[in-house]
Amino acid sequence: MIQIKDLSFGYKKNQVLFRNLNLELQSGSIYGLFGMNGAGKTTLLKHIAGLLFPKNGECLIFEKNVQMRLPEILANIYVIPEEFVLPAVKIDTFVDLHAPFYPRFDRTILDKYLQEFEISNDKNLTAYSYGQKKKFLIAFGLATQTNVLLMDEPTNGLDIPSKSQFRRIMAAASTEDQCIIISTHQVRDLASLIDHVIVLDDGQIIFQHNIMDIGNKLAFGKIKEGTAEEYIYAEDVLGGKAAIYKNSGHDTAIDLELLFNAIIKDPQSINQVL
Amino acid sequence: MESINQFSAQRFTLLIKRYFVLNYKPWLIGLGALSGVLLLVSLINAYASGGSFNFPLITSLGSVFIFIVGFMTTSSVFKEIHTPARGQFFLTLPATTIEKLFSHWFITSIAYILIANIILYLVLLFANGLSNLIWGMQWSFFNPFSIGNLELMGQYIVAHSLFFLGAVYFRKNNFLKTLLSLFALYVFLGIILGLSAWAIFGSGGVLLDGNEINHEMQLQLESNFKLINRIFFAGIMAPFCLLVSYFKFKEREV
Repeated sequence: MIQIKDLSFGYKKNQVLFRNLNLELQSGSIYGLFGMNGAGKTTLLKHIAGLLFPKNGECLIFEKNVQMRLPEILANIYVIPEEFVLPAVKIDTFVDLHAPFYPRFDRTILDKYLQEFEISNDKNLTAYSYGQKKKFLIAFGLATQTNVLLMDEPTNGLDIPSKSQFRRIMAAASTEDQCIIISTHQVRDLASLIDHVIVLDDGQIIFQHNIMDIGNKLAFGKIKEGTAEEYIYAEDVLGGKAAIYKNSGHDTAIDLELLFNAIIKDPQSINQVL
Repeated sequence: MESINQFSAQRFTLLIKRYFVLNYKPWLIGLGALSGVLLLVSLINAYASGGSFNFPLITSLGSVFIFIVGFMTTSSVFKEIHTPARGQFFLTLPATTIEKLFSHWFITSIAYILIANIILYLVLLFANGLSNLIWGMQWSFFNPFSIGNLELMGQYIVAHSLFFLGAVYFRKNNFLKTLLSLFALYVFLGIILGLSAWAIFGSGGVLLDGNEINHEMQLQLESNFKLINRIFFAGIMAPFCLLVSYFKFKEREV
């Protein structure tokens, strides 16, 4: 569905962020795009949305260059940015002005998610808090039913109950014809939601695997004192050391934060096992 | 079947509606100021001249205000795309570049002219009515469809293209930057023309006295100059500005 071919980009002439980046993303998946601050997550999402143009290479959605900003492609993309300014209108007006551009927009879906997020419909959008605005945008984005949904730090600004609401809604909303990319550095928020992990570091994709493979080949746990178990990566945690091992038969819950730290520290060791 | 990528009148209308709903406040302020100033000037004029109205003066003043408010409004028409936090919504809105650009051109040129002329007509009618009640002034009506006014509005559309380009091109203070650029351009052209004349005719220049130019020749020169002016501004400059606006808008990133 999304193909990034040999993408090169830099904000300044002599400053390269992406060099010959290649990536292929399929429908029916929720991709977690992780990376440190400044790794290029937002920049990559902007390229996929056609908001930034590569210096070299191309980004294709349904085999069409997104840079052309064709309505048929744009009608299949919705971006929920991290930083945004919503107009000073009520929700109904916003929907009235924007929904007609999205052929598959469904008002009942929007109302359902707004209710779930406990967003009332009686104020100007500017009067809502940042978290409420973000929840509105998430609900609107899901209601557009676009094939590509790009979310940049969607859980930023959400309180703890809202984060679990978000996970619940996302898990229920994603469909087989949708490709959802969630960029975040808060890896824990998405552990139960994503089915693919992509890690971006210094403008390069250093890790890309699906959750099933990770679960099958890696095990996560604490190092037991006095045992000489061989681990791939370990770090100090409260009350001992958390480690990643080769999976030797019994599956464990994936600790995304630990995995992320391991990938950033030594991507080769993790990639070798996978 | 119509392809979604072709020009769609429905999307074009939706873009116009979206613009007006989200930007009606600055329009109300601009047109309100235009109406207020015109009404005040009309009444002062009527009072100062003992109840008569210098109609040509007031309508000319109205046209000047229409030009100024129009250019200021045009300069800020793409404010949204120059703010990254807003621009991403507009740029990813499913409509063609032509639809987005043309809808904004239409709003600030054709739609603006229509609205501004209706307001000018109503303000003058109101001022006239008021003066009629107070000083018993005779009725005179502003005709927006007069040749003079239509020609003036045509000139607005031509000059508008410069401010439209400025609106796409500059990120901040678009109106002032466009004015400054025009000033710089005229100075530059003046220097080029001056230098060319100097190179062709030498330091003595061309001296023509009254005997060398007869009235017919003068009329012919004036008419030629007008034609060249019209071809340059309406036929070359305006389309060129719109074309550059299109490419600048198409290449816009956030």
